[in-house]
Amino acid sequence: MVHRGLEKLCQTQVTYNEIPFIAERICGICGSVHATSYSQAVELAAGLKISRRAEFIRTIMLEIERVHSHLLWLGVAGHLIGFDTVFMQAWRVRESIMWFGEKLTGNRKTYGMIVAGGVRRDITPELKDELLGVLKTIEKELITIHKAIAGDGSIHRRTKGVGCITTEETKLWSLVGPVARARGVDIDTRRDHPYAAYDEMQFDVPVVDSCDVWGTVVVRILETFEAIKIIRQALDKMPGGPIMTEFSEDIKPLQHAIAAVEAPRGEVVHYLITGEENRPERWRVRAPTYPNLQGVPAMLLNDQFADLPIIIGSIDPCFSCTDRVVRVDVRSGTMTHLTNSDLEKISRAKKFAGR
Amino acid sequence: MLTIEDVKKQLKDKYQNNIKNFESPYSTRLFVDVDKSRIRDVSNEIIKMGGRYLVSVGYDNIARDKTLGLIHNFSLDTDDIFVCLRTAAPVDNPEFDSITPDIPNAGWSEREYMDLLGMKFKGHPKPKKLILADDWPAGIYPLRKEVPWNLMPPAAENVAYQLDEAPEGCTTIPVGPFHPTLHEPAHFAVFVDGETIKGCD
Repeated sequence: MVHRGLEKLCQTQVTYNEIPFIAERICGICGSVHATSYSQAVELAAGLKISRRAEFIRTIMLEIERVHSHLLWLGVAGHLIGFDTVFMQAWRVRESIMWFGEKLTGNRKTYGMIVAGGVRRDITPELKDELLGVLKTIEKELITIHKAIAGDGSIHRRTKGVGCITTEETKLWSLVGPVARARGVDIDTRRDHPYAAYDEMQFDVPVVDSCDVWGTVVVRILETFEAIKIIRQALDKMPGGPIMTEFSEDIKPLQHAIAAVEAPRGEVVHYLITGEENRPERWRVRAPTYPNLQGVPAMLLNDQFADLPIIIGSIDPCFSCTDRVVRVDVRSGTMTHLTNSDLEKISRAKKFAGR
Repeated sequence: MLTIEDVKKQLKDKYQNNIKNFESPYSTRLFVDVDKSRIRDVSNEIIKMGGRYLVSVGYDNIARDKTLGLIHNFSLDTDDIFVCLRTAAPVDNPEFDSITPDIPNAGWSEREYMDLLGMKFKGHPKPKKLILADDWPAGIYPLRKEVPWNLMPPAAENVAYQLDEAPEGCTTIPVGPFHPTLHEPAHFAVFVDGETIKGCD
């Protein structure tokens, strides 16, 4: 574990409206969820109701993020099991939404859009049309990828029956997001605790009960389609109005607030105790990997070592690279170093898949 | 479908004086002040109502009333309610009953506050360091208000994380760290028998 001391920093050095930008940097892939969750906690503590248009724009940003994050994961998952065509195709499709993100916000990721009180940029009619076009392309191409994956025997053999835990265990360990929904636990913060504009959105929460890595693949692909559906509805129903709401008075100290947002990886929880010097007294962030990583030992039990990357990868822990591996034989005391590429080779060359 | 009033009534009936105060600024948020001695029971009660454990929050309240505060948060998913159980312990004896034996996911939160605030959890199954570096000096709890945000204690040598004991006849394979610039780097020590994983730390 690396601990970056963000909470301490924000409790001592900065002010309320600087924190969303720090919060956004908690995660390089799904930053908006943290900024949104933090901002909602501040707004709840202050009793501020933000404009409806800002809530719609937040919804759209969160779903844009979900589309690109799930496509990213799909690519990484393909790479981890040695199926690089999936990786290349998924990331190729993802690229168009990254370009759109840059056009809308100035950044491919880490949008810097959401602050306490609203959002910083509006979505103009031109951008709206462009976004609809981008979504149409992504949807069409994702249908092709979906069909290819569903009909591919090698992906089935590498993911089915791998990383199994039961629904009861999943509940016991309080796992969240696609990891839980792939194991028959029907939870989704967007539906269960509606925030932003999700109360007006019509969408399905895909839940499967295969209880393995394959389930997480299915859930994430279906969720991407749902995300596209939500963005279309939000663009369609978005009311006019201001995008920022000013705080009319100072935020009272020692108010408690809790806010949760459904990130691509699962549920994000922010707990806030307001403080005296225009900054929080205590701010606690719980990212989705925090509970999910605790469930990994249960998923790994009695699986093959070569399946370790995809099982850990299946919770989507920003699994970017395994720097090195040391292999210690406790019986002879010898040590062998495996590099990242060696480990990758073991995983990707795994024989007898499907046991 | 439970409402906040139902939750309040059930808790009040069962735990009476151990529940000191309710607060619900919104119809979806319930803050409950619970006596420290019953925190484990009340947590289990919320789980029985269909609650799902989210996270615990520890905080420093020493300047106000010489206590360390602890909040266990739960979500009642089918009822759209967040329940936050607040409790506190005096700073000179910050011991709480661990809820980890019943709710395993609380394990990391509790270990975090052992590191950062110097809390103690009675009955925690694995009270090891979680967050602080292995060479962080004992007795400095960085999340307490008295510790400056930019404190950098000197590094020490000859300290290392003690791995769990490997099961009989297994080989230990440490994996990681994953990329240290990302927000979820992790080390795994994987215990394998041949190619089959038997456990990990």
